[in-house]
Amino acid sequence: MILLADRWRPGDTPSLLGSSCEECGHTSFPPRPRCARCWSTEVRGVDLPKDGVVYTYTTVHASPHEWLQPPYRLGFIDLEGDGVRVLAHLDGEPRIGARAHLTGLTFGDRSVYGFAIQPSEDGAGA
Amino acid sequence: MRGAAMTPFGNTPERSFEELVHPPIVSAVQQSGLDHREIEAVFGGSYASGVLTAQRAVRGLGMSDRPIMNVENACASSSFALHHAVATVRDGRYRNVLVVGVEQLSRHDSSLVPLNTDESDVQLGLVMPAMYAMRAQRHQYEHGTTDQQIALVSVKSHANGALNPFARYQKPVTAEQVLNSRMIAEPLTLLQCCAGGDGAAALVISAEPGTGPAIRVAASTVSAGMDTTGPRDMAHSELTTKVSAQGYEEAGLGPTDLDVVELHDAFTISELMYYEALGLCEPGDSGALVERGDTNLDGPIPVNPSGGLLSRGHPVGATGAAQAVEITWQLRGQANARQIDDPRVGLAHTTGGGIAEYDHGACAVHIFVRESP
Repeated sequence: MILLADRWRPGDTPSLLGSSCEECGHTSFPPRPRCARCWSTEVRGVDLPKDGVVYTYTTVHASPHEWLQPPYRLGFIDLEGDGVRVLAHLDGEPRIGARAHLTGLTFGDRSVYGFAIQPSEDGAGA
Repeated sequence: MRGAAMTPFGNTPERSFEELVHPPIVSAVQQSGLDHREIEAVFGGSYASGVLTAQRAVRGLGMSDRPIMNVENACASSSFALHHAVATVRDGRYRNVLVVGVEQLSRHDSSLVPLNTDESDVQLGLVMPAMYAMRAQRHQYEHGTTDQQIALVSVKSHANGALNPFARYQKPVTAEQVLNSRMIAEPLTLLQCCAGGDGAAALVISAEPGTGPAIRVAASTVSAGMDTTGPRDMAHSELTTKVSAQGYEEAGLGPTDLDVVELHDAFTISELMYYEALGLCEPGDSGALVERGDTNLDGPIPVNPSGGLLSRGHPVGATGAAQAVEITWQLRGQANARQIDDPRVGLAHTTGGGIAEYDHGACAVHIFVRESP
């Protein structure tokens, strides 16, 4: 079962789906038919950048879902480019400021987008 | 503020709705010196305890055939009900209004505060402790705030709760016990997260003071946060900063004028963030503030003398009204073992959150001033 299918495209190279306003340039995630800033309906669907930086994260030990066994890691990723921040599951040892790359993750029979922590330049991290 | 009362908070599914809510309503109205038939409107605050909550609260009390409405704003529900009461009394529409906050979370299956299951964040597995854990991580990263400093908020909370017969938790805890309690979302442990439960609180807001020291509502300011899919500062509450600044301006006061504060300590880190956002200290200095004991009962700016959400408990819809009750009792000298020395100005603060793209869906700040000695 694919979670949040309205906002990502699964596959070998997954993509996050956003909307970009032709009038004012504002970019949104998830995609919406009307621009949140200027209300124009001249919005087009875009694939969002696949790289970002960890703004913050936590390791969760108490899960609200039977299919999601703790501990699991959630974080907010600031994507490159147009100022979109994404809440997502994290794969690897997170650090604030770490670079992260979009990936697909599975939890039992559920699949969702996530971010894999990239090793830092000195080789530390994932 | 002419009447303020609450029922002891606790996890008590055996208490009926009327057992929870009638005693504080009767007490608050009797304190006001008014006949119950002089109450012209009733505003209720509740989150997950059914429909027509205020109507059910006054059922059997002979005060129903008048304007009654209910406010749901998550954890700020009864603060917003208070805001409406203040606004309608100030504009002369009503002379005497009853505010009721009530919640029976023990009737729900889960101990977690119920959230919308179609919310994307909830589907991903975000729970409120995890959201605040991420705020804590960021605050630690930016300011070097330590796990110990954050835990001290819970130590203070439980020390105060131990002096409050209306609190759900009335046992002191040590910092070691706080840090060693079950990890929920790093770095927040169980004793750093508020629990739900059941409770009710009632207030009478009136155009005229009754007998005894007059408690004036000097400010009642509210707002929602701005939703965004972009970056925002998660370690500092812009919304509380904004709403409290509006409150200070409305009251003609500043944070240094405050003698007592009841703020929204749903989690230990919340309290530290709100010290900063309310202007009790500079950004980043909140850990030092609690560590020095400045916000203890005997400190220069006591915060959450009731024990706050962490120890009083958080029956969601009742919390806002309960904070106003505590401030009122403190200003009147009725807080018994947890009484602060002669406070004249008190501030109550709630935030209601829990949905994607918002820092918070709601924030309310009230400032109360005791007018006569």
